[in-house]
Amino acid sequence: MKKVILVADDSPTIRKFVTFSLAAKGYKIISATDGMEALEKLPNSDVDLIITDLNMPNVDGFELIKTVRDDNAYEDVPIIILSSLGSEKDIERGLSIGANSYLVKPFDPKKINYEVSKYIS
Amino acid sequence: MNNGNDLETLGSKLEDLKDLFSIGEKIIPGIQKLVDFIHEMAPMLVHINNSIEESNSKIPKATDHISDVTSATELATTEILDLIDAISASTFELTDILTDVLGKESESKSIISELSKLLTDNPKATKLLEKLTENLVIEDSKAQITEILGKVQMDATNIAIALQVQDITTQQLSAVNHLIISVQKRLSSLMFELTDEEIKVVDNSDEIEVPTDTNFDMDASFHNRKSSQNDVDNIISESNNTSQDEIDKLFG
Repeated sequence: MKKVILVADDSPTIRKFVTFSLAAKGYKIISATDGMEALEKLPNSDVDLIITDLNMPNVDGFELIKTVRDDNAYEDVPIIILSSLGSEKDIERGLSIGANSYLVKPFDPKKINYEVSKYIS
Repeated sequence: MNNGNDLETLGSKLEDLKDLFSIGEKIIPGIQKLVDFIHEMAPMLVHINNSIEESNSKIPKATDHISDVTSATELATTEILDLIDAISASTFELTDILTDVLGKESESKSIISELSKLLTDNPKATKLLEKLTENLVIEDSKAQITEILGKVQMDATNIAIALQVQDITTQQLSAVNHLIISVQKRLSSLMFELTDEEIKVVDNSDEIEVPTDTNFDMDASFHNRKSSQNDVDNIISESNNTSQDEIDKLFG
């Protein structure tokens, strides 16, 4: 059975590129345009891993991570941040609220595949 | 006694009034100059007002143009990524076909070898089989074909990576749009109405909403991706080391 990855990013280019990078490795990708849509899709999909941007309208990445971590049902789902924000402050904040990995844009498909394979295979 | 005091007070007040008139006499030319200045300034103020109004009216058009550029590049990038996806899928398909063809070629070589053994007494048939074997060259080109397919795949991936620049420019354009709308809001608060009696400020800034449906990183940039990710990895690694030190200290 294919592992399911939920990708939350407001950029269609990035959603497409993440799909391009991961679908070839046999993962099923579900896309969300912001944190709110990701939270709506989460209960209906058996998600194995979440990849999220930080700067998003409505519900941003930080809020999405906090909400997911506060929910017992998803507290163990690995979360990878994929953002153009790369300051020490952003990284520390992202990891402190519960993200497992931090990737900075623009990213290499090999790197995202490596990070994903650390948590699901 | 009281009448005496009242007269004294009246005298003092009149003195004050006199002083006031004498100050007024000195001030009046200044006030006149100020009035003249305001009269001279009025057409200039009207001109400034019109300029603000004109600039303000052009701003929504400018922001619309920027949004259109963003949408167009987004659409084009998505289309290019679709094509890259198709190219990538084709290279995988070609690799599968190559594997299949190589298997069949190997099978053909085995059959020819068997036939050669059966037809040793027929020199013409043996020669034809040798000729046939010479034409089975796909195996020899396997490395070259695989290298070319690998290069196509690598080029497709690098184009896709480079296309991420679209996301970065979108964020930069969103930042510019946000800035323009903020300037428009500020300009709108500077508009005024000039009448004969007064200059009335007409603040329309509340009618302008700074959009909240787009989020952006004002400092987003498309620089060397390896060094950026390395910087992030170093920060994470350093922060992990610190935590480990702290844990070590706790456990003596």
